[in-house]
Parts: sequence; structure tokens; C-alpha cells
Amino acid sequence: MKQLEGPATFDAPDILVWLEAADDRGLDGAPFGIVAMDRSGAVVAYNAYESQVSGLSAARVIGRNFFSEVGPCTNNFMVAQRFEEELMLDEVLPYVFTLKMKPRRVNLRLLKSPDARRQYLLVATIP
Amino acid sequence: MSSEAEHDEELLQLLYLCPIAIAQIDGSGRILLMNAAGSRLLMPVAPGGVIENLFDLFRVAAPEIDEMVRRYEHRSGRICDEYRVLMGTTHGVATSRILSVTLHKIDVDSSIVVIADVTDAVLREDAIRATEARLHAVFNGVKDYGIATIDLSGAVTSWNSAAELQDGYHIEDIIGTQASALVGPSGSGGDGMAPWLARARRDGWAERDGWRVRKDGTRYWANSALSLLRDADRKPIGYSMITRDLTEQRRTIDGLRQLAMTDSLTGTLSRRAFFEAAVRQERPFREHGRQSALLMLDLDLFKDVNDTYGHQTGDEVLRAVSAAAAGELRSTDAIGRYGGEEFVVLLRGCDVPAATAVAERIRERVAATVVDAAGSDVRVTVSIGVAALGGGNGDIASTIAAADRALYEAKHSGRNRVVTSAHAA
Repeated sequence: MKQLEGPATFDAPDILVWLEAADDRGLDGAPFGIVAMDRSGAVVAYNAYESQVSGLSAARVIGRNFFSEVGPCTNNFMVAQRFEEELMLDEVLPYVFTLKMKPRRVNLRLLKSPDARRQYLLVATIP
Repeated sequence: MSSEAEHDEELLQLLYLCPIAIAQIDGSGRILLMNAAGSRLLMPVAPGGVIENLFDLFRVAAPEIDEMVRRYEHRSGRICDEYRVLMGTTHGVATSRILSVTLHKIDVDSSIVVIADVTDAVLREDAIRATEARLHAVFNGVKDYGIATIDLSGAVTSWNSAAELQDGYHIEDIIGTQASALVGPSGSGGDGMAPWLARARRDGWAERDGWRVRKDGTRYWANSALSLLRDADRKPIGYSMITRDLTEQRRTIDGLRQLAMTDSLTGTLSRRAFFEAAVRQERPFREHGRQSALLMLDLDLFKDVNDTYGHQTGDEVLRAVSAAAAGELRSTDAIGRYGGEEFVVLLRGCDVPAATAVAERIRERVAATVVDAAGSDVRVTVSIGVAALGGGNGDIASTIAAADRALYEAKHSGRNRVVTSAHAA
């Protein structure tokens, strides 16, 4: 598997390859939020950036279902249902997150592939 | 991690996970704080996917929310409680949601908003209400069939309006009473109902032609069908009884028909009755070569009356105007409510110059009419269009169209006037 140098950018076309290979330290280096989930939506990795903007530590969210128990703002047909129903996903979606209770415009990137061991939600805050 | 930081995190998590949307807004609707449920509910319905200002979010679906907040004069308190808003989405009709919005003002420039998605609950309620309404319509809508239910002891348990008319018992009088009262004693004074109920219980149904006794003691000949009712376990729980009056005496039903012919507010003919009865009765005049005329009469600026004095006064005004107009008519003329604040008048055997004179008198009489609205005098005027009916084909639709055009002209040339159509039917 090809290894990418350093943390990827939010819109890198081949980011899924980098995400699959990265360990927790690697994910923590990324300048955007990364939530890695298993097929059922349970959080398996929550990077430092996401933890910092949401105010929730990784320890608090690991093992929980992301859509219902961590980020319920995504628990609708626009995000959660897409992950549930589609086999393959790579889409950027403008959205509003309520980070530390403040509504903030974000770009979400929904990533899912039958070949990948995890599915990902990337979060780029729009300044 | 310090315990205080941990506490803050717990609090944050609680707010994130709260299933009901909570937000804080300032006086201009700007969203200062909001939880995740807020974003989950509002993202699919937010115009342009923007969640910054609550008033902007509801600008199309419920612009009054802005008003409610701005007009709320107290420093704090409940602005609205479970106010229902239908939100369309940019994702198609099927995704429209009904949101319940509660606004609570907590300080001069700050309110708390609680939003819940009640779509499913509302749809369930609507389905139940629709079913009830349908059953009610069937139960009470049938005029020729009295429907009642009777329990196993022979007591009446339900009673529809047609049964009220047939038997003269009000629902309050009959519920709980023995159904035997409806048939009177049979032969030597026994219970005329008992053998019949027994037959229905044995066979599942029974039919009977015979006398029925009304509350006032008078009798009528009726056909009744009894069916045994069972619960889900097939256990008998009572009977339904459907009764048809076989006599020709339908005075009460005729009374209802009369009622349906009259507009309940103004006492003028209903629109349907006007065209069915009035126009039919006009035919003999036309057949004798005499012309008739039609007036279309519309109150001027009636919306202003409603807006200024309220609908009750609006209703008073409608009554006063129809009374004023009727006061200028002969017994052979007819007036009907065409809709809203519009009336239609048929002047039988009246040519256009004579009809125009009548219209002018109506106009003057209305203008001189004063309606008292809780101390203030309300005056209204009417615009009237006049058109000839009869002569040639006497097509009522084209006459109405012509009178309508004349009315339109009267409105646009300054109101409070009579305009006569050049149209010759």
C-alpha cells in the first residue's frame, strides 16, 4: 500500500488511502476533523482537531455510535442515512455543526468504500 | 483532566445528545447557541443550508415568528408554546416536516427556543381525525337511515341524527333507554322488541317491517334491520339497528332541505338555491317575452371592515347590506349570497333601465346604512353590475359574466356606483 507523506489535505483525491494507513498519531496531525467509524457507525478514532473543536475527548466517544451518541446533528437523511444506504461514498457536503453549542458552517466529507476497513467523516470548519 | 473540565465536557455532551432542539437567540433572531438536535432538525429545511438567524430560517414558512418575538412586550416570559410550523425542504415534498416551536424570552435581548419534530405525531393525529370525521359523516350524514346501536341488555348505546329526526328522541334522551320504547308494546302489552333481539342474537341478523312509536306517541311504518355485533373474539357485544321510514311524511327532512337553501349568515338564498330555484322560476316571464335582469352586488373594501372591526362586525355588515338590498326588492325578486361579500339579485320581468333604477336605490340605501360596531359607526358602500337576462337564449352563465364585468368596471371607476352592461343576452 502506498504511504503518503505527512498529513493529507481535506480535499485530497486519494485521502482514503492515507486514512486507511494512518495510525492515531497520524490522524492527530491533520488540520481538520477526522472521525473514523466501523461499519455500524461506532467511533474507532477521533482525532485531536475534532476533539478540540467539539470539546469532547476521544476517550469519551470511542466505541459510541457516532450518529446517535456523538454527533446527533448528522442523524438525518443527509448524512447518517447516506452512510447506511450507500456502498461507496466520497462527497463533500456543506453543513452546520453546533460545536461547543455554537452553530458553525463546516464542510463534511463522507467517505465509504467496500475495500476500506473503516468509514470516515471529515470535518473542515469554514472560517 | 481536572474534574471541573470533565464536568464541563459532560455538560456539553448532555446538550449535544439532548433529543430536543434547544437554541438561544438574540432580539434580531441571530442564533447564539444551539445543540446538535437543532442542526439535525434544521439543516434539511434551512433555506440555502444556512443556520445563522432563526427569523430567516422561518421567513417563508412562518414569518409571524419574527413578529411574535419583536412584539412581545414583557421582559421575560413565554412568547409561543408548541407553535406548529410546516417546513418545506429543498429535498422534495415527501421530506416536509412539521416543527413545534416554543419560544421563551429570558431577557431583554435573549430568548430560548425549543424545537421538536412532530411530523409523525401530527400525521397520526390527522389519520385518526380523518377516520373519525369519515365515520361521523357516514353516521350522521345519512338522512334517510336512522342508525342506532343497542347493547345486550336492550339499552340504546348510540343514536345518529337521522334517528333523532325519525323518532323524535334527542340523543341525550335515548342513550341508556330500553330500545323497546321505540316499538311500543306488541299485542297484549309485552315487549315488542325482545323477540326480535332474540332472533338477531340467534341468527346474527333480523329484519322487521312494522310500526315505530315516536317520542310524542305518533307512529310511523318503518323497515328495520338488526345485526349482531361481535368483538374481536367473536363474542356478541350488542346490535346495530338501521331504520328506514317507509311513510311519505318527511316533513322534518323537508325542513332540513329548506335550511340548506338559505345562507345561514344573511338569510338570503344559498348560491345553489338561487340558481336552482330563482332561475327556474324566471322561465315563465321569459316565455312571455318579458325581460329579466340580474344584479351582481359587491361590498366595497370589505376586507378593511374585517381588518379594522373584526369578523363579527363584518358579519353584521353583511347582514345589514343584504337586509338593505332585500328592502328594495319585490316579492317576485330573489337575492342570494354568491360568495364572500358578493350577492346576486334576480329582478323578474324587469328591463335594464328599471333594473338600473333598482340597483341605484339599493346603492343609496346601503350608503345610508350605519352599523354599530361596539360604539363606532361603520358605513359601507356597494358596487353593482347590471345585466339583462332572457330575451334571446337567456343563458345564465353569460349573464353572470356580463354582470360581473359591469361590476368590475364599477369597482375600477371608483366604487359606490352602478354600471350597466352593454351585453344583450
